[in-house]
Amino acid sequence: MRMRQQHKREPAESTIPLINVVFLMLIFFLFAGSIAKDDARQIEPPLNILEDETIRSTGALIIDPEGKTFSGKTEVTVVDWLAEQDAGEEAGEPLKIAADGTLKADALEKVIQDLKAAGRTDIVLITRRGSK
Amino acid sequence: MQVKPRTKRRPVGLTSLIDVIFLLLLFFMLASSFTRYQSLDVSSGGRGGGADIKPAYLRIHASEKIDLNGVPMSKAEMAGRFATLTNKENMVIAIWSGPEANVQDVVDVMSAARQSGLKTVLVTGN
Repeated sequence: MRMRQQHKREPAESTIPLINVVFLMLIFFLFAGSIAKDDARQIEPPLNILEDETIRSTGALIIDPEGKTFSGKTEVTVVDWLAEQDAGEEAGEPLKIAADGTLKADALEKVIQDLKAAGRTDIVLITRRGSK
Repeated sequence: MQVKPRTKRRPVGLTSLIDVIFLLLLFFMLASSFTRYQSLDVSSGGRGGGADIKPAYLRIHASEKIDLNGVPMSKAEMAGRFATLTNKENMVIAIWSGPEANVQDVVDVMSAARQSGLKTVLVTGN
């Protein structure tokens, strides 16, 4: 039996379409994503139906479902976090709190009360955009 | 005058370009996040401050156990009930939450009230 011989060599697969697609994906991720540090990633902030301006969660006080307060990944007390904020770059900006949606409201109110007792009244709660 | 014959250059390879683009793509795919956060104001002003209008009083006992000025309502009815409040320009809603309520319920109520053009105050502590 004689094997059929290949007469022509297949032309090499062109890489130009590949580069096109990869470029498109690169540009998509460049514009659609944000690479700011997302401190609230470890919890699930409550959903909010309003469409307000977007903010970053960098530097926010994180309150987990058990009511423990974190700055980034380290556990801190509210007073220590406040002192850290006043010394940092964002002094004068509203205080950002990111609480888990399943946290008891009383625990959140306790934190807000502590901040108010320290004389701060400009407090914002971080929420996620979207509806259930 | 004699012109030097030019040697033919090889075209620049595409492989290194693709390498770099792939690296960039990988970086942005892994480093970027798509969650959009927004802020909800919970500052509710300072202590004291004699308001001359009586706020509406909204209590959240549990997720689906809400009452406005003592009359029970569900979350779906909130927008309709807020619309019936009189003197809306100056109306403030004081939100009190019970031990069973969680943060999501408070945010739901606050955003519904803001959407109806009302101001909200979160009652904290005593």
